[in-house]
Amino acid sequence: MSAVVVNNLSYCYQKGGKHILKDLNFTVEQGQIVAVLGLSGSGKSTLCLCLGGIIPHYFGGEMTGQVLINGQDTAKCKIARLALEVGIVFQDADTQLFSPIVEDEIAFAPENLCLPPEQIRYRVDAVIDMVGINHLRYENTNNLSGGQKHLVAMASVLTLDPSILVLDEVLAQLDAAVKENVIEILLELCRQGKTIIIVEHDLEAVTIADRVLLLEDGMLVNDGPASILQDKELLARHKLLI
Amino acid sequence: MGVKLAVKMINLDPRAKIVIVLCLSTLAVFFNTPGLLLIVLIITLLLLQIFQVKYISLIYKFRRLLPVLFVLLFIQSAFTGHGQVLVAFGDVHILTTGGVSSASCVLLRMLILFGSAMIIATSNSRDYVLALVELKIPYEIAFMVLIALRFLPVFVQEAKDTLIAIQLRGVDMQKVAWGKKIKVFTYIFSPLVSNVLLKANQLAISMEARGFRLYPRRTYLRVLKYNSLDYLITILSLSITLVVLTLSIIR
Repeated sequence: MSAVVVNNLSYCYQKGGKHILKDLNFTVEQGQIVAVLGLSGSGKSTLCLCLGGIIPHYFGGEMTGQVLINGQDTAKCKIARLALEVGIVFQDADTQLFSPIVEDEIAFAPENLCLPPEQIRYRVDAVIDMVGINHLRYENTNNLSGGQKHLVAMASVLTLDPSILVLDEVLAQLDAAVKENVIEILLELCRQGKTIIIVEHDLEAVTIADRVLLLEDGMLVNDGPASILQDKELLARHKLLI
Repeated sequence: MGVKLAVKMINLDPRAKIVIVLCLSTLAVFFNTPGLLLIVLIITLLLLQIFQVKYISLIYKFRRLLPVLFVLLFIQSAFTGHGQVLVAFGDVHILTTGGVSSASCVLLRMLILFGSAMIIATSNSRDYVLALVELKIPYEIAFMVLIALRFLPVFVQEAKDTLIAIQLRGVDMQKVAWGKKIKVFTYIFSPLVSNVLLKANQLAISMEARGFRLYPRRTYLRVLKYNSLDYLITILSLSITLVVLTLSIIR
């Protein structure tokens, strides 16, 4: 079974309005690292919302087609239920962190699963070790730098142990050292069999991808191996080269 | 010894702290003589000292309220009409002892309310979520309180940023007339409200995408324990408050 199946997906935020996504079709196999590239306004973030079931559950608008996450139709499944399968790290780390202390923030997701405190502790410790933020454990989330906030946001999603991880323009906002750290974590997650979807506009950030999807004006214009990142002519045609 | 006591008090169960604050606030609202309110204020300040809260900043911040209290002094004198007249203009009482007493009560009451609220700040806001849940308040509502506390400074900062952005476009707020100032504030208010709504939306999505409300109940990493000191403080606070209130009513 494929991790993600997107069938004829189209979406517009208001009925009768401009389509942000236009007839997308693709599948992602388990354990793949897939990069979704495109300019601002190409529909990348909207696609992330569709993968997490936030569209159509949270936003109105008009969605046609189907998104299957590990065989579950996102339109028929609650967002909170889908969160067990797909974890999304959003662009804006500030609005993702609401607990006063990093440890509490990371514990928030397993607490929602009604796990006993010992198991919550185990998950929190494991993720903190994996992401390498032990030194931030008791820090106030307000006092963290932008990169640290993203690491905490990522850790807080990973405690749910989702089989699919979606990063919405996270890497491009990190400095070189933190980015390298995150890439190492992603590769480790991939070795564990997790599926990673990296949504970016920065080409340098997606060198670890097995496959690249190019989005332009809501349409999938290219779906190929990572080697297409070397095809300067193709990238220039889609305005992805400066 | 002092440090040990402070650590013990800071580590009190949040529910015990809520009881202390409720008792102080009840007394502040109930009493209406400056003498009694002053005693409650002294107790509040002593408690703040024990909790190692730097309350000097509170008193310092209250200097901004002095003009309001000054106005209140004359309004109370003119309308309450009781007490000895200190200053009069014809038949109109400008300043009376009753007015001075009422304005002092307002100041003392506010100091007690704000001071006792500072005791709350000695615990982590996540602990108050636990405390509220233990008090059988639905966890969704308890989290609303936490989020309000977390985002309040963010919104204050955003209001300041919007004001700075307006000033950077050449509007000197010092020189703008009061009538036009209101118009300028509408320019601050609109982006602020839209940003608040946007942030609330993103926050709700982020919480739900991490399994919030997956089940009707949830568990917690930390577990609150109401130990003997918490029981002692609770019983002591409630007993003293009840005795004082009863005595005041009887008298």
